[in-house]
Amino acid sequence: MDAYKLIVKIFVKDPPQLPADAFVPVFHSWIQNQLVADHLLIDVADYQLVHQGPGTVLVALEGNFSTDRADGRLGLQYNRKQPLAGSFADKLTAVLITTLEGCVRLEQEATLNGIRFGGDELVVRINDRLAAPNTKATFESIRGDLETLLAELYAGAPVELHHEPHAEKLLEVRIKSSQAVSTATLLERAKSLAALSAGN
Amino acid sequence: MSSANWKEKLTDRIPPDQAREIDNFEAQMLLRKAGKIEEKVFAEVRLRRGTYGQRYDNGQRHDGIRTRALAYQPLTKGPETMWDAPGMQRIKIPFGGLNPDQMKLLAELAEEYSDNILHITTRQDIQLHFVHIEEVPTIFRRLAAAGITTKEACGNSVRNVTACPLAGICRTETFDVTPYAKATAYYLMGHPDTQQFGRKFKIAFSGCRHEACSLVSLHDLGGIAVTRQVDGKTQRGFELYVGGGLGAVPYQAKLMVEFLPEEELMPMARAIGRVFARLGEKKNRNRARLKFVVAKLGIDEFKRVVMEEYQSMPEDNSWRRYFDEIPRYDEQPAFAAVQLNGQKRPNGFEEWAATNVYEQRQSGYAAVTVTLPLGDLTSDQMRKLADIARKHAGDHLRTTVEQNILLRWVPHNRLINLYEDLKAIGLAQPGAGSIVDVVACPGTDTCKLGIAASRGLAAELRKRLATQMASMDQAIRSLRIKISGCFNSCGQHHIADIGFYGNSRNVGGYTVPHFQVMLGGKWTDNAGSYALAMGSVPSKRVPDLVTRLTDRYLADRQGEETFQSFCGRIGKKQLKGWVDEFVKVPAHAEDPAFYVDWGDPRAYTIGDMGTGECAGEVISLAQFGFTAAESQAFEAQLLLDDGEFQKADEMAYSAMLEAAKTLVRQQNPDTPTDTPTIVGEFRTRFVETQLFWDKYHGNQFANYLLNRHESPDTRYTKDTAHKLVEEANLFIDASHKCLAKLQASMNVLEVPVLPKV
Ligand code: SF4
Repeated sequence: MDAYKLIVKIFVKDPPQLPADAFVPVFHSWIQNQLVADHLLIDVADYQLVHQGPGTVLVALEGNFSTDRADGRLGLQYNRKQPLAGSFADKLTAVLITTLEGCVRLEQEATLNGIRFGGDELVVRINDRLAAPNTKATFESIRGDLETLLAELYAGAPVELHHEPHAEKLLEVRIKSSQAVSTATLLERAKSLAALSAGN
Repeated sequence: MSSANWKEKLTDRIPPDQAREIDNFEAQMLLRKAGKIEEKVFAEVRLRRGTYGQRYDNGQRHDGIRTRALAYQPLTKGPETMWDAPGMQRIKIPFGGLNPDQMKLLAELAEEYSDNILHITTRQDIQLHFVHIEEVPTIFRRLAAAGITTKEACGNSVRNVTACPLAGICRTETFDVTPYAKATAYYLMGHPDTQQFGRKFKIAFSGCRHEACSLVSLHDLGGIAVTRQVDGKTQRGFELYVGGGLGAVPYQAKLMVEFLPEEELMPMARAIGRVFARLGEKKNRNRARLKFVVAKLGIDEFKRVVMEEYQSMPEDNSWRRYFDEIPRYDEQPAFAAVQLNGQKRPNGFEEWAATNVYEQRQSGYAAVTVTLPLGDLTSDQMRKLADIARKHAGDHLRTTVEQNILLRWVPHNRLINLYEDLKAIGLAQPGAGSIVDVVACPGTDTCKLGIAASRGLAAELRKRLATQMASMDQAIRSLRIKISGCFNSCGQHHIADIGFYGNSRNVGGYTVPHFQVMLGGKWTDNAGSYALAMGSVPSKRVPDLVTRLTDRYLADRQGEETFQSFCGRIGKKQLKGWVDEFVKVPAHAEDPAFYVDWGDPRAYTIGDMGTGECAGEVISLAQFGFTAAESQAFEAQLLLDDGEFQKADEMAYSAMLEAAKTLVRQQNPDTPTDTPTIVGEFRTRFVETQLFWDKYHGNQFANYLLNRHESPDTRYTKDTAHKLVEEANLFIDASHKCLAKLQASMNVLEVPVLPKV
């Protein structure tokens, strides 16, 4: 699998009451303070009027963050646009780290009423219908890499992977762990894994 | 994923001429990347394929505290337009016609290459934002495989041809204008006579005079369907209007022909295009639309010039191919008509149906408007809407100039289920065509020319007005609000009851976002008259001003008086007085909220404005021709590298023909483009006259083409192909020199104009 257009979404737990435009000033402040490493931050786009849409989007050259509300569930989504080095597992780890860093940063935002992300649930998509058609075969081709990564992330706790082939939708894997883990812990583990891989 | 793979996968599904054009675009993109073609030439190449720049692509942005450089790589894709900066892709949807398969493909493209949002424009196009230039050829290929093009979606060309979304099902139309709009769109697309405009050219068709669906009056060329009786038979034709347009200087189109028989429509459009190419301004883009030609000559003289052109222009019967398709255009319902009888109506249905359901001319069927906030929908909504359309309406959908989507041919008995299905995907909002259905251009969100946040203001008004809808008087409900981010009028503010366009004012050393208030524009009668400017108010006061105006209208309205008549009766002085109550800007220390715009918490600045690309660059036909030749020579080299020797040979030959054609057409723009004619004309005009003669090499370069044409080496080995690729490059160089010589000898301008016939 040589796709790099990976998407990771992490859900907000018990979403707090927030105005619809709460994320707009937050993302602008990320640009002002250049808070996202290795990203050329460009602009903020707001789609709050769109039903279950991307919400507020922080547009960067390398990839976009959005406060995605697909299926009515708020989460932070990172959508990689530019190539990444390494194996598929390396790319996925890198995208996961970027997403988790975003979650941790939002959790620290004073204006977001103590927003928390659930570390026990992830969605991974591959935004490339040609490289990764949404079939069982594609899923099987990435399953090993996913399981290895998840075993490290969740320290061996059982993890369920859910995939449904679909002729039109992007390949999507829903991941659920029985272990409640904070995003900060997940981030730490993902970073160790990346360091290990870089050392090899 | 490389575009080469999509190219391979779709190779059998893209018409060869389109495949070739896209290959050409890709080759030009690579040449620009290698610094081998000029940025302004590539800019016009991509604009003509709808690939626009977007705000901040000049490499700087004010982040609310300071202006920050955006560290893109130094390469540009146009003047002041950085290569890496994500941009906008406009997709042409002639007459707004879409089918569910196309909708699904568009949804995929928005998901994979944009930000998961599809935006419907006021010209029935679809736009994707934040698209990376490197992915554009793949987008083109995927669109082409689904029967969609972006060709001439921007640049100095014939833009999307619009038509009433109700065409064919309308209760008041004279006849269905759909097939005429379609035929005209494809006939003029890429036509040699529409390639040398100094500015864009917009066309619209309407089925009747009194409605507003297609807004003929604000178009360069517009046709309203009319019929007459000839020898007892009904003959179809058009009232033909020319020279309308909005922008900073709005003009109402003038009636040029009262009855133009249908078979004369396309040749007449071509003749008008030729006159525009010849007489239209080329240097000053602010005076380059057709409306200025019509205004300068007067409609009678303009008509005379066009008729002269019509009579004398060289024969081109290619319009027949499109015209012959017209009678075959036939839209059939997918489901039988069954009345809605006694079914339980869910909550909200009646309110929705009152504004969003239109009774078709065909008994038992309705057309349903899907209202899209600010013209936006997600990929997921688009995909599901395609399924819903197929389930309840069939294949025939239209985008609308009010930035919505229309489902046609819904049998009455399916309306309730359709409503429920739309509700499930958040697309059953009532208020289509009402005051809540605010139209807005992209403004400062993404447009380089935007001065104020038209979308931000529209979102705010929409939110406020939606909460008042239930208790709102019908007179207020039926008003229309349209907002542009600057005077260029993409939000069509001139034809709204209440319109706004963005500007700014300096207050106490700060720049404050404002909107110019435009009142009393006429939407009906095909945009029958334009609004009056009433002065500017600060952006943050606009919602309160709207409340004041609507309250006054309700209180002082006489009988069934329209808002436009109301404005006329009340008079400009009184209206201005109401507006003036809202002009005051509090000091920054008192209320800093006035110093930021709607939906954008950064300190307001106009420093982010860039150079607009709407007008494109005026690039000479010769520049285009040589660029196309060079990109073919480049492609030939790639084929050679891939071991495709025969194809490399053919491509190199084609590159030489392209260069020769460019030269020949400099001398006679109407030269047919078939190979024998081009080679024959090249020989007569350039070889025999020794114009192509080289001081050191004599006829050597010319012979490269002549030899390949007369006796091709059919061994197609690496060596033979390599030789021809080299020769093609030398031939193109010699063509450049020849043109320079030609221009010097004739002392002509770089931008040639079509000769008067
Ligand atoms: S009206 Fe102005 S701001 Fe709006 S899209 Fe047109 S050029 Fe841009």
